[in-house]
Parts: sequence; structure tokens; C-alpha cells
Amino acid sequence: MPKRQPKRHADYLELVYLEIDGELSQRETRELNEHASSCLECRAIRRKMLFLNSVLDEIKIEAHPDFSRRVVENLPPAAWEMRRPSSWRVAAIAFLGLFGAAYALTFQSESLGEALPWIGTLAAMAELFRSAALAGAGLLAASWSGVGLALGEILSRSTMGIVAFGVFVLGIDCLFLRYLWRLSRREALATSRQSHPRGRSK
Amino acid sequence: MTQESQQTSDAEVVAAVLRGDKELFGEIVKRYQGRLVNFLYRLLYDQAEAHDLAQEVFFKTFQALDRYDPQYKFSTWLFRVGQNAAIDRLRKRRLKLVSLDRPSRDQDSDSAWEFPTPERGPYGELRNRERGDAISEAIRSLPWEYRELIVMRHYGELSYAEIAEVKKLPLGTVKNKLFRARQILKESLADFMAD
Repeated sequence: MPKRQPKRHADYLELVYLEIDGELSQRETRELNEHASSCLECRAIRRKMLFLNSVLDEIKIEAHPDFSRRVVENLPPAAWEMRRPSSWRVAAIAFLGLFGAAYALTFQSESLGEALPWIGTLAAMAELFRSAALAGAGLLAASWSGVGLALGEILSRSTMGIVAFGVFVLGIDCLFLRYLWRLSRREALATSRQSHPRGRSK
Repeated sequence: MTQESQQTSDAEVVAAVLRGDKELFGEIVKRYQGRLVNFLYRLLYDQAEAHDLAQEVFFKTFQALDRYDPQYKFSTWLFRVGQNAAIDRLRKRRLKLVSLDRPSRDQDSDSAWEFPTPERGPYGELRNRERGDAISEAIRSLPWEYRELIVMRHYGELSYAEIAEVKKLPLGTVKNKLFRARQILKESLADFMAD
């Protein structure tokens, strides 16, 4: 085990500076005290440094008494607030709840209706909701079917039509790949920012 | 409360804010407002501007709170944002100074902070004020690299390790610069040191 070098006077001076910043260990404090008891210069510098430390504290100012309240009241909206999962969870739960209620009221309304007369009104509303959903689904199916028919017509007419359709599909594929590439790049950037979140470097 | 548990608490508070308890951000503000305002005041030397900027710094950190990595100290992140904001503000101030038609600070200031005017006291207070002015002036006349560090240490109350992290400097360099800064301050304040 290497033998520890004895401290020089300059080392103790460094300890004085570390002491005023509260960065000294107990052992170092003990060593400094022992040295200072016999070193006039270290004692004088230590006294001056402690004094300097206290006068620097004298000119501290107080934050405005309303500061924290004002900050909290004026907090700007943050992007992460919008992305919070709770917001979509609430929407999903509400949707499932409504859907479940509509289903139960539509298909179980007869037996429930006998027990509770006001159930009939709710059942009618649920029926309306179901009809609207079915109409929407029907419209969607009809429009897809229309797109299918139009495509079939185009493809059956000429070779050029098939080529044009192929180019169109390829274009869509390229756009999709580009989107995926951008997405992965953004995620990589976000990860690197998380590892070094300290704003800009000087 | 130890520094370690304080750090854990900061991370917990941030996590709670991110879960949706926005009001809890006030706890973070209360914890750091004094240190941040003092730190900015000693760089800008304008109390209202320091408060405005401290508010801006808290807004910025709130908006980027989801990017805070709890493995680092919240204080170092906050003071890094504060330091950058102060440098930006000083740069803008310099640009205003060279502009010929710049309005005076009184005219364009929209700060809403009002501070009580300190009353003139007896001789002892006046003497303290003189000493306070001398200390302020001594800090102000330090070269920027020293001033920043001494202000971080004394008014931001950051440890050597935190300063090293904020400034991205080796620990030894931080110690040396603080040592040098104190030497200069000691010389500048020699009259008062004899007291």
C-alpha cells in the first residue's frame, strides 16, 4: 500500500477554501484544525475566507412573496399534457360505456322495460344510436364497394390503366416508408434528448 | 432533509406533475425560487428582470418536464436553463445598447413585479449598505467565467459537482476557478476584510 504524502502548507490553504464551501470530509476538517492551530497564516486566511463567505450571503435578496403563486397561475400549456395517456383512456372508457349501455338497452329492453317504465325511453334513444352507427357502417361499405367497382372498371379497360394503378400503389408505398423513416428518426432524437435533457450547451 | 432525499423528492414531484397534478409544480417553484432569483439577479443586476426571467425559466422547464431524466439532479437542469436564459438576456441587452433609437428600460419594461423601497436606516445600516454595494460591485467586476461560478456557488447554492455538471467542466477546473475568483474578491474587498 503506497504511503500517503504529508500535506504541504499550500494543501492546507486549499482545504480552507473547500471548508467554506462545506466540501471537507471529517478527516480533512480535523487535519485542517490541527494545522491551523500552529499556522498563523492559515488561521488568518481561514478567518478572512469565512468572513468573505458571510458578507457574500449578506446581499442575498428575497423572491417576491407572490412569486410561486404567479408562476403556477400562469403556467403555459405543455405539449406533454396533451399526450398524457389519461385523456385518451377517459375517451375510450366513455365510448365503451356508452356502447355497452346501448347494447344492453337495445337487446335487453323488453325484460327491463317491464320492471322500469323509463327504460323504454332510454331504449328508444339507444335504438337511434344503433341505427346511426349501422347507417354509418352501411355508407362506409357502400363507398368501399364503389371504389372497388371503379377500380375494376379502370383495370379492365387497358394495360395503361394497370400500369397507372401500379405506379399509384408504389407511390403510396414510398410515402408510407418515408413516414416510417421519419417516425424512427424522431424517436431516436427524443431518446438522445432524454439522455441529455439540459437545454442547450453554452 | 438530506440532499439525496431532496433529490428523490424532486423526481417524485416531477412524476406527480407529469401524471396530471399540475398544481404540484408550485412545490418545485417554492423549493428553487430563492436560489434561482438570486442567481439571476447577480448576473443581471435588475430585481424585476431577474424575477421575470426566473418565471420564464420555470415556464420553460414545465413545458419540457417530460424530457427531464430523473437520474440527474433537477437543480442542475434548472440552473442550466437559467444560465442560458441569462446569457440570452444579456446578449439582447447589449444589442439594445448599440441600437440608436432604443427606448429606455423604464419605457419598455412591462414587468409586473413591485418591490418595497428600502428605508434609510441609522448609521449601522448605512454602513452595511455601503459594504453591500462594495460586495455587489466586486462580484460585478469579476471576469465572466469567475463571476458565473461564484454566483452559482453562493447564490445558486450549487455544490462543486453540480456546477461541474451545469458548466460541463472537470471538477478540478471548477475548484481552481472558484479559488481564483475568491482571491480576486478578497483583493477587491480588502478594506472590508480588515474589519
